[in-house]
Amino acid sequence: MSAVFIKLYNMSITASYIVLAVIILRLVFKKAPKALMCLLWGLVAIRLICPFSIESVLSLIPDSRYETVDIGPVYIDTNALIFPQISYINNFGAEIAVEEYDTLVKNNAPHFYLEHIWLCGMIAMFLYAIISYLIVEKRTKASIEIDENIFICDNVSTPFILGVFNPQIFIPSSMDKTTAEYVILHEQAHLNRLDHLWKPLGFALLAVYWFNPVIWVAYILFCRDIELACDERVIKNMDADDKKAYSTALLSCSIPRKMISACPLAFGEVGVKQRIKRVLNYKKPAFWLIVAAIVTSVAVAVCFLTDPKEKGVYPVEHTFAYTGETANPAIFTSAINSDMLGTDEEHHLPVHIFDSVEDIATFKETYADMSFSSAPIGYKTFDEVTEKYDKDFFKDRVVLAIYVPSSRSGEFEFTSIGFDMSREVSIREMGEANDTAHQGILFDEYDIRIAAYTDYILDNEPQVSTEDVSSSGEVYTPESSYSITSTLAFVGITENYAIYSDAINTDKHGLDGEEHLLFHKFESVDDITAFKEKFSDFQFSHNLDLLEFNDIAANYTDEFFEDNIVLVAHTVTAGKGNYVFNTTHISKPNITFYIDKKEEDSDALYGWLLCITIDRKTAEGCTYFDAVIE
Amino acid sequence: MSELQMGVVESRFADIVWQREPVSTLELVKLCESEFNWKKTTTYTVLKRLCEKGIFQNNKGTVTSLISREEFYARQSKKFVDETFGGSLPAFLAAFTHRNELSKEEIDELTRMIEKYKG
Repeated sequence: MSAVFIKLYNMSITASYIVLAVIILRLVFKKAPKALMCLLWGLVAIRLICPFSIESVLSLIPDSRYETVDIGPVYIDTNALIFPQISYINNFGAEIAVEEYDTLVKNNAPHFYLEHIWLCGMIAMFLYAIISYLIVEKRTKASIEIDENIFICDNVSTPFILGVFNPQIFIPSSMDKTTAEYVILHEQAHLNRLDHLWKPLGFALLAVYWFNPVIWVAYILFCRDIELACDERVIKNMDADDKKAYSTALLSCSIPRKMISACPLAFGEVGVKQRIKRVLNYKKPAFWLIVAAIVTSVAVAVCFLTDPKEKGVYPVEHTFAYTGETANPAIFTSAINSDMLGTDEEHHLPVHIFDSVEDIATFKETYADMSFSSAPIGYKTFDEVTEKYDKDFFKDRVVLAIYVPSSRSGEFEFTSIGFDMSREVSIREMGEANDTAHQGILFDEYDIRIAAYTDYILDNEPQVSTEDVSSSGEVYTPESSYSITSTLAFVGITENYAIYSDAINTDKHGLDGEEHLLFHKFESVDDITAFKEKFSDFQFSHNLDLLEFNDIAANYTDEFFEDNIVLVAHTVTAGKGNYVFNTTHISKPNITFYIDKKEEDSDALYGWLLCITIDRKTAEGCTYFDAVIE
Repeated sequence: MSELQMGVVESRFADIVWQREPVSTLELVKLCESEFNWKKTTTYTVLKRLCEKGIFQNNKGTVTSLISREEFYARQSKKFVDETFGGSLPAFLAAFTHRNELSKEEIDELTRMIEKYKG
């Protein structure tokens, strides 16, 4: 459903409350001047026209509380007394503007046919108005002006006013003079009150909001009140005889004649009986009554033209607390999204739910090796953050705890939004990179209780700050691409697990879903010799028509090592392997390569050593090397 | 439609024809324009209707009467026939009253109520 339709739907709902209030007022203040009632209907119109309003504590429009509905993040106000409204909640539990929702979910429209029905209805109403206007106008062509803007016509059976900008009064030519005089007074009262503008406006609103039956009631009553207000205006200063004559005129106009009803709808049947009774019984309303009516009307205006202050909507918070690491694998296996961890190329983060104070206590027990009460400078502690999570907090909120490394400031940006009840959220860390990565818990608070399955993905594109903390003062921008044509030598496999466990970045081994190259560093010829001894079951030379490691290593002389270092990684994947190093995150003492591996060939053999040469200037001060294959 | 009836507006138009006949349609259009501010189409429509009623005839642009004025008014019947937009007016028009189904009893009751009223 589009934003426009939802907005209109909600506006008609708030207007419905005013309509109810006005109906009650009408009953209570029956004897009050009808003109006042018409003003109140004006308030209804304002509510239907203005998409915005002011908030005030005096508002009587019921506050929204949310409950989830099965069609995703659409929340129906089920606590509203009578009329439910539709609101949208984003995945962070905050109410979002309907327009925002619209841009997020262009094609995901449930019940979109409802909107089409609404449009058809509205168009039908406007067509009816246009066509009937044209028909009436045609019929009034053959008419004769008897006074300024007053015409007699053969083809009309009831007096009326036609035209918005140049209103003309039409009287049936068969009407006798006396009746006509009173009729003209009434119609002129209409003109003085600008009813020839208000009534079409009201109808236009009815055409837009035709789906709401309360608005039909409002329109019908509005039409009645207009007629009564005109009657009042005309007879206000009439004596008894005049009033009698007016009533007679009213009666004679109401005597049915032969008619064909072209119009299946009957609007505003102002009971002639009631009108005559009112005319005959009219007494000028007492002063106090008028005052009371005005005061109440003002109160109604304030209470219903303003919206309630947002109660019960809490700001949604995300806070990062340092906890350090835990050795308990349950941090991964007991996560609610454990099925997603390590499955695809994306860096999924384990998520746990806190629904109550007990949940927090249990968590602390389970992962007792975390640090809950102390943290490095600049980071909050777990206890600090969870202090405010008390029983009251959990009444209508839920906290998701995401186990996430923070290598920057601990401020995360939540970027993507999924749209079914199982959300997928992408988070990205803000701020400048710093030297150490801290493991901790990212708390994501919800305004409502959604026991939804939620998956978080760390989407950190390496952002290298322009003010590098490194002493070398060298700056590498993320866009720079190092196209290092690395060399691959076939060596087969080794049984020595140290090829992984002794790597510089062995901590990355098998941790997440990403493929890391595990590096060994050569800084001298001796390093190579030691390596070859350690992994003696590699085939450093062989009889295959493939590059041998020995051939490559022949280049690694002492002179070579003066200016360069070599990183070597064992890759099991086959292929000709031109590795394109796209972005390099350099924050000494770390270098992380992001590698786009272009596989050109698929060899049956596996077991290769990837040899990467880095010049010493670049590598100076680096002690840690990592590569992620994208 | 078979009844010889004319509303006030048609009568005033008819008077012009009866006065000026035989009158060309062009002349008639001019007269109606100055008298009533009618457009050409309106004049032609009204003329056509009265011709259909058998009161006038239009012979190659000249209008003459088939029934004289005196004869017409002699034949008038008292009943009114409506050619209206139907019983109910469009909803957006400001009006004096709407057609109610007032029963005879209601009409009598209201008439009595009005007569009794003294103020």
